[in-house]
Amino acid sequence: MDFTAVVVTLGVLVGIEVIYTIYHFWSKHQQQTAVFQNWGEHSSSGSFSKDELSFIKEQTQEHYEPFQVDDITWNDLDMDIVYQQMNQCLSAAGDQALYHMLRNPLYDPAAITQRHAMLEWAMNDEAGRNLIRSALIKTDSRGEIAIDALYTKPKNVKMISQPLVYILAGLPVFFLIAGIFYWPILTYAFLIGFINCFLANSIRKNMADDFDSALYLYSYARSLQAISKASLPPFIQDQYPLKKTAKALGSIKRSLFPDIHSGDGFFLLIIGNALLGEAFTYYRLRDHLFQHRKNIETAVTIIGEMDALISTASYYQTLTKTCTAEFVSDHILEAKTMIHPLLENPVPNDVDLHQNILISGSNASGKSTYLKMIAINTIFAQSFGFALAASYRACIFQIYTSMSLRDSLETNDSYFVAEIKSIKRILDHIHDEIPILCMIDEILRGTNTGERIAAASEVLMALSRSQALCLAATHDLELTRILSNHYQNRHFTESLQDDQMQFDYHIHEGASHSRNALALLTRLDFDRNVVKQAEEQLQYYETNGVWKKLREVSGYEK
Amino acid sequence: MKNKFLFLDGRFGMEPLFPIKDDEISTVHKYYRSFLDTSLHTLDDITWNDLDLDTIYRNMNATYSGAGDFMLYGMLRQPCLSNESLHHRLTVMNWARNEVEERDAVIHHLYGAGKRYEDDLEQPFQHDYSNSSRQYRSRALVYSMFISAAFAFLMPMPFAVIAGVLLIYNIFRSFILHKQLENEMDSLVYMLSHIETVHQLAAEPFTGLPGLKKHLEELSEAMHDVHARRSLDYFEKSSSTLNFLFQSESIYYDKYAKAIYERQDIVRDIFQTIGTLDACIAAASYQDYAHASDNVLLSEEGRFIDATDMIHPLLENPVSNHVDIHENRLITGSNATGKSTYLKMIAINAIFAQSFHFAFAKQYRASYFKIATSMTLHDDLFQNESTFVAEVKSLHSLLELCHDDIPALCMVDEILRGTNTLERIAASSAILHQFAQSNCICLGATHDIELTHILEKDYQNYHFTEKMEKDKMVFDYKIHRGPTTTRNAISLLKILGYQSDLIEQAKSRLNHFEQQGEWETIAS
Repeated sequence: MDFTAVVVTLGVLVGIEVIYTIYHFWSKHQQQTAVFQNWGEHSSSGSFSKDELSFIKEQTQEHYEPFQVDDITWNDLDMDIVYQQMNQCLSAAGDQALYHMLRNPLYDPAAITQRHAMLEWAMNDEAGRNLIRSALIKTDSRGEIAIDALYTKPKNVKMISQPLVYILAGLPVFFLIAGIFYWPILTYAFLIGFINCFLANSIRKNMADDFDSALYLYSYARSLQAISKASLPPFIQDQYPLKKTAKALGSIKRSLFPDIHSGDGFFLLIIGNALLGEAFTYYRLRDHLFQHRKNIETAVTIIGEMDALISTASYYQTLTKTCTAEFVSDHILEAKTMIHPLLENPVPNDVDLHQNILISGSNASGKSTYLKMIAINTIFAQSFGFALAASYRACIFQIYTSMSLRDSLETNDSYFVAEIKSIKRILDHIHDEIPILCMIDEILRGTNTGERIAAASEVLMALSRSQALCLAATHDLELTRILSNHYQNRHFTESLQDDQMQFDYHIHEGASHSRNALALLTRLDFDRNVVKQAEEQLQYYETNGVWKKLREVSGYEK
Repeated sequence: MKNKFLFLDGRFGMEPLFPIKDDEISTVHKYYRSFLDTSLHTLDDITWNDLDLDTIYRNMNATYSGAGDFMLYGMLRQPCLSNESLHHRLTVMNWARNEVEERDAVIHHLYGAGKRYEDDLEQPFQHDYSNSSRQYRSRALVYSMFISAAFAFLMPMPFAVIAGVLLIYNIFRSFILHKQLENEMDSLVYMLSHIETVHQLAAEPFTGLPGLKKHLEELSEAMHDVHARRSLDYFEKSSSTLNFLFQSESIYYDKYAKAIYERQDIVRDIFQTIGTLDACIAAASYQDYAHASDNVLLSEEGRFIDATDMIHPLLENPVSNHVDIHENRLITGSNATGKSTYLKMIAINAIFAQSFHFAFAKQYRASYFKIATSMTLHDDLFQNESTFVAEVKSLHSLLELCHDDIPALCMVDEILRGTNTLERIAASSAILHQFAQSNCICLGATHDIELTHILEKDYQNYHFTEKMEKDKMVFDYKIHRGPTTTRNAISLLKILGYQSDLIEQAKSRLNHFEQQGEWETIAS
């Protein structure tokens, strides 16, 4: 009688555990399959909130050297969005490495070629890349955990010291064994197990983050070992010290306790808690990790880079039109049918920069997009060796832009001051060894006409005297004449068809001569009278050389 | 109960205890409409961003409930246009300041309602996800499991097995339901805790606010059968053993989801009522914290602003300006002299006065306005719009606003700066002229000195200026009569460290233009 009840109960418990475990592995497998199927499709995992992005930025800044692409350029080019669109990373280290790569275009063509080779490999060797990716999935916590939280300072758990944990975890086991010989001792095992369950709860509250970080770093060590066993092409083996690091990390063993962290297994959870599994594991891992912190750091870097490059390869695959970038020593930038990566229906444009260029043209005709397109593609070319174009030939540049600045009430800078500072920072770099590619949109637009034209022409002259390659866009048609000997003129244009403004978004030779501001007013449903008055006013100025004073109005009439 | 959360005490008149994050503001922004009366005058997104009201909202937001988040946002976004609607807010704010003990008790209840910023806030209103037969099935399964467990002591063989099988089945069932209902459950708990707060608030005295008290009692009565404090405690531990054994999660879900879906008008009313109360307390707290003055008098007649020593609340060392605006104004002046700040200051104070009856001025007398601005627009790559198009659209909507019995207050900074000089002057003079013919007060700031002559009959000219003192530029940030006479762009280049030969050449180039009337082409 008694025996049957015990067997049934135990059977039920084991059954639940088994079913749960099967479910757990099945869902892991599903997840992995989903990840593999996502290859070459647009990113689904890469969208971050503002806070997450600034966390990634902060972490990347701590881990790597300072950024080459500064904040102004980064924001001008909407690189946060580009980053999210590209990001299919599977680990937090990958998130950071990808961010780092986009923020630091390389200046050495050989290094660029090497990265590009890695991309090509990831695209072509499906088995190899899936092997790495399945190892990457194991580092499954993304985002919020600071990688360096642990190995910079091994912390004690506040309320409970290491020997005490070992004793409390050991006692139930000891009593269980003793219970074989004299069964009433089992009571003590259960009693202490019970107390431990309560302790485990409050320990968890105290050290949840540290414990997560420890497990997290451990998972990197494990992933690296898995990767090192894969058969990768020799150039990757040469690039990363895989085998060496994996061997060094081989000595890190976690305790025997089940994977409490990732599993929700009900009874395992209770057993784990009764034996103080988390604290026990933490103390064991902590010392190991601290000893091996150099190697862990290497592992994190290697995994981050591999993850970022594989993720980029997936993005690369989504692109329909790409080319391998070619680097030359002349100060030029040539590309055929280049497109902007963020636009849904981008219009391709040729780029032919042998000297500085001044772009004029109406509003909304595509000047800024053209500048951004070139800058983003230059970053892609120097970070990963590809561009969204039919061909790309250029020298190595530092990239600076000064485009869509805004007032900042906090720093108390007006729009104009922000703009002057931003252009000043470009001028400070024009004599660097590596030539700069600078994009300036609507140069000095925050000030009055006379001073704007005088100052803008001098700034652009200073740029043209240096070895920088400069692309500027402006509304001031006066500038096109003043600088005609130093800047090639290009323009964007539009045509009016059936009351609709049509843009072709193609760049043309020469300066702009059309104006469309008033035409746009009509198109945007403005009151006929307003448009008519504006047209009259303009005509009056063009015939008489002075502006007409407007009559006094009698105020609002209902 | 009363002093459960000690950290809540003494926070009145201090900075917010839990400052709201940017992401959370975007969620509030996305959903505030579902809790507000959208027919009222609402500030548009451009105005909101121009005036940096996100920051103001963050500074003010000492609310404790999710409803408070939304209603405070809504109150900033919908300034009152008549004394009647403002009066209610004012009485609640005064109550919050005077009845300290009652207020602290109320704050405890509000804190209990909790906050949540997920994309499913409206979900309990949209679908009835409850399933009453599921509810009965859950109960039947739980009861039969316990009954067979009880019988297992008498007859182990069939009943122990039945109990075991039911246990496994129930665990699985609650596991699957937990996954299925996870998101719905969170948004439901969010609603339920607000309803719980109404029950608690209805028991508070609210001295001097009989209307609010009565309304809260009515709401509490209407939801009398939704009393979820105890079940809420279960939900908070929803992954616990108890949930596996008792199926508590799905049972409570089915029970309450139905109640909320069927009475969603009342639930919305609850959100508005609690939220308004919470927001008014936060506003009164902010008023004390930021030392804003309540010397505000708003008139439903006329078209004017008279204020003494007004300041901008977001600046650290603000400079005060007198404001006496009865007509349209055109403000000129060099860069960085304070034109935009002046415009923003007036608009923000008008919003404060009309939303919460306080202002950052010694005295504020004005008529009610509909407020709109067109100031710091920038390119929008994804809508394929340039600054100019965005600007023209925003001016267009500003003009639309001006054809109403209630006057509009329009702030236009650097009008049409996104286009070439000639067309800009022609178009902006025509548009500003149109403003002069409408029911509004228009404050325009511009770099185009030409406009001061063209529009001198419709617009009073004012300016900001600066002085050069020993290679430094000194600003007084005070407004002066008449059009501007100074220019500082090139001097600013010098101050910010540009090379002196560049500056000399720029000056001589400008001189050449002013004498000859045309620009000189630079030789190669």
